[in-house]
Amino acid sequence: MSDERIVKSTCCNCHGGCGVLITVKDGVIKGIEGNPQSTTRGTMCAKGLASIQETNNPNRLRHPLKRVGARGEDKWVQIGWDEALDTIANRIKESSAQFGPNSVVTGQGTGRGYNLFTLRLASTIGTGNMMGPAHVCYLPRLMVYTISVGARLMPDFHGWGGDFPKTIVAWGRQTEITNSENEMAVWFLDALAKAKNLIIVDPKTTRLTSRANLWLQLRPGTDAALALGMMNVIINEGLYDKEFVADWTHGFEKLRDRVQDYPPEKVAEITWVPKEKIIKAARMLATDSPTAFNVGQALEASNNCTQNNRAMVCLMAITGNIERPGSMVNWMLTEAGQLEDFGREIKITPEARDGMAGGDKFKLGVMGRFSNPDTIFRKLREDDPGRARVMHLHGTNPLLAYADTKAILAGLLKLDFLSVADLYMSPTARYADIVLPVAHWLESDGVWDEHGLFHFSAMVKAVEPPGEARSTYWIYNELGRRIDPKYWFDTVEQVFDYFIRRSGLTWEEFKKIGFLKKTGKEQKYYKYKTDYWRKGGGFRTATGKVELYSTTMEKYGYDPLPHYLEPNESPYSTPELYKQYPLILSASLRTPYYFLSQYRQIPWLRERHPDPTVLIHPETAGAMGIENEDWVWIENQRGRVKQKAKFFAGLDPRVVMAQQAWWYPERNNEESLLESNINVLTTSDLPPDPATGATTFRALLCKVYKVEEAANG
Amino acid sequence: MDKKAIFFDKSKCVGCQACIIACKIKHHASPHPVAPPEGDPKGLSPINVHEYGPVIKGDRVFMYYQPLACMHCQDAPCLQACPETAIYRDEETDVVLVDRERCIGCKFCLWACPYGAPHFDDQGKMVKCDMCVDRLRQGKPTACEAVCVASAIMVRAPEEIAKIQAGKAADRVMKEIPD
Amino acid sequence: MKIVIIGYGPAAVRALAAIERHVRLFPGQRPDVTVISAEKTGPYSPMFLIKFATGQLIRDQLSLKPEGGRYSFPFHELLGHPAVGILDKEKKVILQDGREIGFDRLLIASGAAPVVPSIKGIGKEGVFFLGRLQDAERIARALPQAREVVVIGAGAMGMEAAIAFDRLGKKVRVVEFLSQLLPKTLGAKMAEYVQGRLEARGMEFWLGCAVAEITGANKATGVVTNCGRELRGDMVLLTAGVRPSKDFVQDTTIETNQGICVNDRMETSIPDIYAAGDVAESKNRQGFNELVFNWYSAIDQGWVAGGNMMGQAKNFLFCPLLSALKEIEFPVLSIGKKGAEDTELLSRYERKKGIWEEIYVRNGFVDCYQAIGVRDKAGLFYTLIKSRKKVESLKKVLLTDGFNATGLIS
Repeated sequence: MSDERIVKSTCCNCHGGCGVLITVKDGVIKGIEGNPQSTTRGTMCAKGLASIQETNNPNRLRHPLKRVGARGEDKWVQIGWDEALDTIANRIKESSAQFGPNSVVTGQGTGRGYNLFTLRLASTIGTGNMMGPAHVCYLPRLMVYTISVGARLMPDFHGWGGDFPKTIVAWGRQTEITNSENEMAVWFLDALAKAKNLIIVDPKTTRLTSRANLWLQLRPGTDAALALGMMNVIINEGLYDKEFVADWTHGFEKLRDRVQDYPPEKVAEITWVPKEKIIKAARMLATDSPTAFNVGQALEASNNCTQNNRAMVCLMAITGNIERPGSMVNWMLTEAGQLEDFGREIKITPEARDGMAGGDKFKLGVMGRFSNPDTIFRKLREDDPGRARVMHLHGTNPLLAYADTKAILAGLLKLDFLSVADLYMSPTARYADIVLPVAHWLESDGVWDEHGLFHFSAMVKAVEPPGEARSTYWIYNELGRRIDPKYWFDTVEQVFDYFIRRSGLTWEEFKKIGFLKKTGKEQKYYKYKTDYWRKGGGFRTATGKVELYSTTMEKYGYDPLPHYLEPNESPYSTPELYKQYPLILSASLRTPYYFLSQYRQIPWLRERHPDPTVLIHPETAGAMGIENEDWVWIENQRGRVKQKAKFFAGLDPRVVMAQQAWWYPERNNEESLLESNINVLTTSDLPPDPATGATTFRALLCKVYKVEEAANG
Repeated sequence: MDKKAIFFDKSKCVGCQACIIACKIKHHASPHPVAPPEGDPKGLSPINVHEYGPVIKGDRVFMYYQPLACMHCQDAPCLQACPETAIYRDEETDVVLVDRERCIGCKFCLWACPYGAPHFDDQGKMVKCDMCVDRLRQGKPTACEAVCVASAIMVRAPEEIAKIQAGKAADRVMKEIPD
Repeated sequence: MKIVIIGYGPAAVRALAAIERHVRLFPGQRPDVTVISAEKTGPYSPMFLIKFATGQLIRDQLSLKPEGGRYSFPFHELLGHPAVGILDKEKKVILQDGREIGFDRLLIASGAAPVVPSIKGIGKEGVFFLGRLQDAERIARALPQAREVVVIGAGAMGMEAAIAFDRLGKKVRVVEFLSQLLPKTLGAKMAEYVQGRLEARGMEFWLGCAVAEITGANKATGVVTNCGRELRGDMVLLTAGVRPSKDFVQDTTIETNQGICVNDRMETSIPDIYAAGDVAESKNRQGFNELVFNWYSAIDQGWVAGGNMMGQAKNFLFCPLLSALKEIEFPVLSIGKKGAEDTELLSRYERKKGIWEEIYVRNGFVDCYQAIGVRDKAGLFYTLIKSRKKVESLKKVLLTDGFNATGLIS
């Protein structure tokens, strides 16, 4: 009688956390499917499903490794966990003692349910330098919501307040295929089926554009101008929500003045979107409300990141689309409460706060406790006395994720000590001194808190990890204990017990239930009309109102009102450069099969999309003698990489879009790192966003030409 | 158990291809892919998603994704074309199935099928969508239907599907394709 | 009612299936059926003879079986009794042994047999045709000893055989009278490409050459072409085309051309006599007579004939020619025939994907589809060509990867 069982767990292959059912037979995974009883109703994406090919993947790291030979030579000796963890902990403690805690950097990549563990570890060490891509990824939105509204907002695709959105604006975001960031594709698409209008703002067509009422094909990097232009129309035509504006916002008159600088004619010139469309879209989203705004990471990877998002919040606010059913809502938490406390309860010391890289400049960036990666690597390159000495990374690839790959590599090589925890020998792990093998979510128990906060679920181990790989949570706890046991626990179970203590459940109990949620009538709307945030009503901001004019931005010396800023390199800001590099490059193209640098080694995903792809308009390509699927060089003054051209008519002929974070697991070396990785062309030397330190990934300049084959086969 | 028919709705599909992976899991039940036939880079996928566009005509954007597995046709040309009578109809559900023992991999079914539904595995035997007939018998949705975020795949009684299809007349589809 | 069927190939078997289906619906109408076959073998798939000869299929897989494994009504089989004549007025079939078999309705499904060209030395040992199962058995016995094979004729059958022999490790030399391989079914450029790829594997092609003589004393040692070239081969396979086996009707008034002429009900010019399969010559969609030697056509025709013999009024929809080479890494497909004038060619060549498609469109219909490296669109184009679907509005999408049948087939 063979042992076949079904394990209920949570998928961790992106931020989403779909409920999954895993069929396990004799210790081997036989099937993965969505859990029809979960909030995601049994739906999943290609990535989560294909993770069945991760547990036995031959590329998996199986043992802790120590470097022998030069850094990057890829020569390793196997060591035991104790030696590995002791070494890392000791190096952290020594560096802390010798150079101060800020000389230690803990880092992670995109959130996978353990953000708070990274934070807790950083706080345990006492360093202000927790490093992540937060400056270009979600943190800006979070901070902008916090300072403007006092609470993070999500589009209400659930209709729990009795209304679904009448208009949905998908702005730089393709929830239908990528990065859920707490809003799942299935909820979004269900809401879309009920919506009257869909407005898409994107330089290229998306999979929904043929269904959209309006497609605003804007020039990359001009989002703030478009939003301000819309506000110009809405305010001047009196289409704004007068009651909400009057009672619940601060600084409307100043905003009104500001938007006069952005009449539709001017905005049309800046954004390349026809004036009539701007006006039509503005009228539509203001009058056909409730309107939900699905705002994407695209607005954050910009030198105008903060103002892009400030403009969006103002647009939401003046149209009355805050806390109204079917608009932008702050979800109330489950019984487990404010899970962030797990990371935040260890108070940041003044020394740590002062030592945050970029903390002197990027005030909003550091509000989220993440220090600026570009600053960290620059200090390393320049031998700055306050530079990082020891870096411990978990699930991140700075060499692929951050701007200017060669500069990041130069910085990385200068570290005294680098440890990397990952599932695979990633391009970054190759340069480490110690590599830790991490278990997959299929092989781990865990607590998953990346959902829309109204939901929080358990990750339940289905099979044993390969070799000696251990779970993320175990690794963090073991490291934490060695550095300061008072903040950590004897077992991982105790960690989880503590993590969810406010719910009144133990980990074992929580595991059985599988999730906590607050949905339906349990969610309250119009919370600002109650004492929820402020006694007597209001928002948790300095003024108690939604700050169209931000007192916090003013305090920090930034523009308190949204404005447009031309990208650092563009046809208008650098016309001479444009002559040499006559195409606008957006360097962050997504696919449904990969998440940034992840999954190139999963056969079923790699066969869907084997090569790095750059979208190019057929006319543009034709003029250069490039055929569909030709390999081309994408080049600017900082370097060049090779990707495969794909003809795409849904782009402005002056724009090309290249995929991000490409590496080749099958030949992982320095040469292939620089072969197709578009971050060879990006830079952190040009002015970043002043408030968050965000780098520009979506609006650069380049030229494209065919790769000439050496010997034709 | 009722007879079933399947509808693939291209007005809803977003081309995420989760259905392809779900189908592979269901049919191969192994972490490793079945070796793809003769140079076909996409591997063996009983369900496929065809991409069309984007084509821009003035203000209109034409783009769609058409998921397509097997239509389990009433007058199945594959069934009629098979020289080994290896393709048959399940009496209970009306699903068209293939007997791998009898299949000789001659591909006559492939050339008869307007939808390209037959695929051939590394032993040369025909594999195609079986409408997850074992799941249907348990009252569950098919693997592709269950996983679809866009609700673009529907398995229902044939009369229901016919009604849905009538509502999305083929003519309208033809009109959408630009000249 | 007495039904007699001459022949026991695909068309005959499908006619039986149609009769079977009719009988299941109307059990009271069960006819008395006799099947007359020149061979003793029972029904088999003639298009698989090469596969059988080269060991890719076993004998059981060659048999044509009824659906469900058995017929639900009994019928007589006269195996090994060739028909030599028909008395159409008296409604009798004359067998070689002298017997006369009476019928009410007759289906002639006697198939086609290899053309035997008059080449000197054709009677030598080691020279083979591929018409019947016994030919395939002979080839199968001789193959292990053969190292080099000469294949005469680079049509669909010759090419399939040549490739199968090549896969067994034989040195293959193909001789073809016309100037390209697959002369009747593939465009010149595509044929050139296929030839190049096959030559890269070591196969030899001698085009525009007629065979003057098969050399050797008693056993074949090869051929000599009319330009004097000697090609070695310890086996010579002749695939010079087939022609309908209709000699036994020559004393009747049945209208024949190259085959037995039929209308789209499979009726011949004589009432109650039908023809189906390789022996039948039907009218194509342009209204011209055309012979089609093809499994799909045979089974469709057999089905229609069988049903109509039982009193139905089915019509046959002309099946375009379909020929495919698939035992190579880049499948070569040809469907339909190019029209002469006014044909527009839509083509698509994507070297990186290994796809080459040529679609011949005339008067808004697709007449012909030839493709290399395309797998899943074959059935789609077969259906488009056969159903004569208007494609005027589809021209832009015909060549895209995403072109598929939804919305076209109702």
